[in-house]
Amino acid sequence: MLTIEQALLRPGAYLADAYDIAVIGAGHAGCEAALAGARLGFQTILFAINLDSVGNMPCNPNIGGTAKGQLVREIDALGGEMGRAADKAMIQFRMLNQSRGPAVLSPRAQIDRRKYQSVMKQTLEQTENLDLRQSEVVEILVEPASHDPAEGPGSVLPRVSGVMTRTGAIYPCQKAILTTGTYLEGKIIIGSCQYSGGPDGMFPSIGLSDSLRGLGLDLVRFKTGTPVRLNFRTIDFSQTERQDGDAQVVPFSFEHEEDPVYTQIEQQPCYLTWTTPVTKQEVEVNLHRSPLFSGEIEGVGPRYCPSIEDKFVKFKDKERHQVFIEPMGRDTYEMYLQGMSSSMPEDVQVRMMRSLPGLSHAKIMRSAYAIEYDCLDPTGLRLTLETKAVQGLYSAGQVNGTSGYEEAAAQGLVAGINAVRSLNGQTPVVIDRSQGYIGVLIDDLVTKGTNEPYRMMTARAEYRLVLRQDNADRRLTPLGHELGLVSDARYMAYLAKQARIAAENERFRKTRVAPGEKVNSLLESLGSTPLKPGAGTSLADLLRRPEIHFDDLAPIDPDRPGLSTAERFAVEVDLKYEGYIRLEQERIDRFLRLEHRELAETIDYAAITGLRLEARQKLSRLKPASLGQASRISGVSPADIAVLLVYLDARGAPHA
Amino acid sequence: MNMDRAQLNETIAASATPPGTSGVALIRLSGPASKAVAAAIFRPLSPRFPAADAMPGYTCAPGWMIDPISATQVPLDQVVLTHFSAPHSFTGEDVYEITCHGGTAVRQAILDVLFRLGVQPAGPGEFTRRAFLNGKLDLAQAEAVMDLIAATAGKRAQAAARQLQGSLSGEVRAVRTDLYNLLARLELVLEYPEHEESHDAQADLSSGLAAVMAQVAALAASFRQGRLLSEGFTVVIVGRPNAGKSSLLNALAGYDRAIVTPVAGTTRDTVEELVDIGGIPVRLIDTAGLRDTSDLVERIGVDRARSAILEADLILWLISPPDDWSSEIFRLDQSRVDTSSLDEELDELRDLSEKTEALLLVAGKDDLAASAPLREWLASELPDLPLVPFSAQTREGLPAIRQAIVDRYDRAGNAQADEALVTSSRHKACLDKTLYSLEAAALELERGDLLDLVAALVRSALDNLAEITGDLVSETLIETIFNRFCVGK
Repeated sequence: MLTIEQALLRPGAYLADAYDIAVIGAGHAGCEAALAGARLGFQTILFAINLDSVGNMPCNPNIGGTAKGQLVREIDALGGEMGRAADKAMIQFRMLNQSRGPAVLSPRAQIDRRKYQSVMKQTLEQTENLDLRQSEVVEILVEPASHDPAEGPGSVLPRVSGVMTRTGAIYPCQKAILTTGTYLEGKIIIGSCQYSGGPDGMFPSIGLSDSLRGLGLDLVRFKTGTPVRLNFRTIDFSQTERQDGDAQVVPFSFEHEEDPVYTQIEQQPCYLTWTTPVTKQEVEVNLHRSPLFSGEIEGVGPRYCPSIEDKFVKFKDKERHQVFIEPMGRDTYEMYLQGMSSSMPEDVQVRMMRSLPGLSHAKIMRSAYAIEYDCLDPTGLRLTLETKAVQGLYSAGQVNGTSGYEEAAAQGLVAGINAVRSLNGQTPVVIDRSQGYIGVLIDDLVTKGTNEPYRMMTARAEYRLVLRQDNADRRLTPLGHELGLVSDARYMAYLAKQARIAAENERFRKTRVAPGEKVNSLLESLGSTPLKPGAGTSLADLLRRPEIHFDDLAPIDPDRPGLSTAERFAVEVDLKYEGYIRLEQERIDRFLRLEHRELAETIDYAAITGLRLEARQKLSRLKPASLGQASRISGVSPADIAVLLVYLDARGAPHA
Repeated sequence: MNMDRAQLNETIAASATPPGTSGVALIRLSGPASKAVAAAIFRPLSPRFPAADAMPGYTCAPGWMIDPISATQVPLDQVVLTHFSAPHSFTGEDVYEITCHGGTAVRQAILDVLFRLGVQPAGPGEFTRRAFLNGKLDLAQAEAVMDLIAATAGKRAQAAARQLQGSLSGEVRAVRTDLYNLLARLELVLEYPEHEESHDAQADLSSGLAAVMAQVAALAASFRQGRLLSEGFTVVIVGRPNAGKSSLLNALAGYDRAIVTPVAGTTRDTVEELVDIGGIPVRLIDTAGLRDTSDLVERIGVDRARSAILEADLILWLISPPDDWSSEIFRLDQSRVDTSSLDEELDELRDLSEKTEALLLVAGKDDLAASAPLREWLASELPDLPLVPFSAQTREGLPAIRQAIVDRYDRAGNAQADEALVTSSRHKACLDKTLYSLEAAALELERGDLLDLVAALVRSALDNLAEITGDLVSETLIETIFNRFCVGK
């Protein structure tokens, strides 16, 4: 634990400019955190070990996908940057899960990663109050815990007072947000070759881990990996299956809805190929050389992102695996080989890669590697992403044990917002599990922890029918506006859109459809049961039929107003799924009642009669913010929650 | 019926009297929707009495319990309804107490109707907890309540653990595993739509769903047999009016329990008696005389008798010589005996003997001269059915009947040892809800390819099942996906 005064005694140390907020790491979490802080009026500095790595995608060159696409839409709805930047750098778009239901529709885009970086970097550079600085932070400086008897019994937590860089600069600040990604004590592993290094050829961050441990934070070691990059010119695409984007591009950002600049883009294809028996054989023969199986890798890797050697070992019966070849950008021939992540030695990587159809003569430009890194145990965080051990210290992104650009950006935004709320002396902003995937993500992390890099999945959300990509604005834009991240102009546009949707919904309910030849022939052509004579119905009831969609009814609905694709879709979903959504809303209402029962951090769980021992220990350690959060801690039973309810009422805590 | 679903979810019911047979039983209903629910299921005996929702607090009214969802709305029982209006009730909420007849079947039927309407089974210490939360208990009692909840939950956990040992546990786990696998397949398709594994996973979803539904339905159906273990062996006495059923019941019970009169149709309702026969707890049920009747009350009794017959572990079918069989006629010429009055009963017996083996024919009034020709005639018409003569006067045949009950119990017990049995009505309610969600899922799967809805319904089925198994769906689900499928980048 180091104070500014103590740090100043170090050789070469000097006092640099003071800031309100210092953000450590300029990846996807750091960019959102810094933008939120600066846009909400606070002097913010954003550090990167290398300014050419700002907003980098060191692994797959895409943004979105199942659950992740929903996250990006939520980030955008709240006033974050990822969606806007992705729209500007998009080179292919697909809406995943077409026809499987609106709850799982997920936008996913291939991204020109250099373009994304330059868009993001320029946005940062142009933002008032925000300074971008290439420098490696090695110390978090604090004011130690106060033992002033005037402040009551016990000690107050240490409080962030500044950060110190490797070159000796001391930047005083009130809030520090850790967004170090996979850089902390990073180690690159390729076969038996191991060296200290960060992702994508960057320097690692050395020493900051020790500073964090000194502050009482628990660190764990995780691992992840990335596949080889190949030269487009050396691939025989005739042996692969071409995969084009959708004809209709849906931009991530609600600001870009129906804007031809973002919907009329030139798209690039991906390609599909497969592993062969030779690939499998290469893995089997060389398994003893894999650091994963020889025990040289100590970090825990993600199950959902297994290396190719993992796949062959774990699923022995599976003869072949899919491999996608994806472009890295418009101005490069580099191609990403999705599905072939590996930490095998380089010679094995070459032979494995060349065993794939179309790749027999391919040239590797960058090797596959595994990377081990330090991250925080996220159960040491509050729902605001502030650490429980140090006041004013927040953390977001991969350093919290997640994986994925979208998960990182979502956390960065929440950490930035809450740092600002705290600076303003305002109540924290917590998005709950019924409001967004962002809420599910953060609640899962801080309540349950994770023993592998955590990836967002739609299956993790209890209220999936409500948490849709199409209604992210309805769920979060009012909050974004209230916070000040969504402009008045955008908010007005949002309100107008919602008004149009509501009016159209009402019109559909009220407009009667009489049986007649025109109506019935239309219904028959759609494979739908014709109306019986005398049995009129409403447009809404017709739309509720599974086989009928909004646009189908145009011939018998001459009075319909001109609505955007998104608005028409919203009306259709609202009406078609009305019953299911109402049921889910009831579940949400019940969920919220526990969620709104606050638990003070000062509660002495050891003194509550009726709690089981395990529950007492877990509650004392995790200090949940609400009864709802408490109920999700493993080891806390429904009976324990009932006991807590009675305890709260006995003390007259307010009902929600 | 217009009931707020959210309010229903907050409304609870449970039997307030202990399980087993008693003269009367009490079912307590509490919560914001209790008024609407009570109004829906209660028909006042006459217009002189108010509807349930018009009853002032602290008053009671006689009437019928009906099932408002069933088409026929056959009364379930005649009851007395007592209303305690909020906040002047035990829980502080609107409370109705239903005083019904003490039979297990009656009580379960009423609870089933409540649960089907959306009322929730009360949790451990739930009434007390609500009483506390609504300020009906003072602060000093708070800790006692917490202890109570902990203790009740502990006991319930022990009981659940016990119940989950043995075959029920195996069956529930099998269902749960199959459901997880099904949901994992669905989620895989939704999570990795571009992955080849998801194409295979999408095939045969509906047959997989149908298979799990059959499992759940079979488990739910085992509830009836499960009661044998928890609530006794059921013996039903059936026969035409005035065949002497009440006399047989009294003989087996050892004292005068039912009203025995020579007027046909005296026993207008089912009468239950819990007796010890050879160390076995036996629920003896005397049914109303089986005959078509225009008397409403009696007709209910008759309907009840028919449903009791189907649920019985052993049926004692009492058949006595018709009154017009005089000994005189038999002596003269047996062929002249007119058996036409027994034809209908004979058909019912033949029909029943095809449905169940648990049938014992008792030739009653063995003290009458006409009984011998009756036995001969029965033996010739129904040669495969075991037949025991019985006389209430001389007690002849009583030991044989008691032995038949013991034999049947042993056989039933052995047969059921291998089957999974659902023995608690809470579990039954969970299984019913599970089945309902799965039926809805199957319907959605059939209607179209909106797998998000199918997945939501399968998930809610698992949530329902989790009330028996107590596990967290999301954790197990993700585990299942990654153990079964090779997906990811």
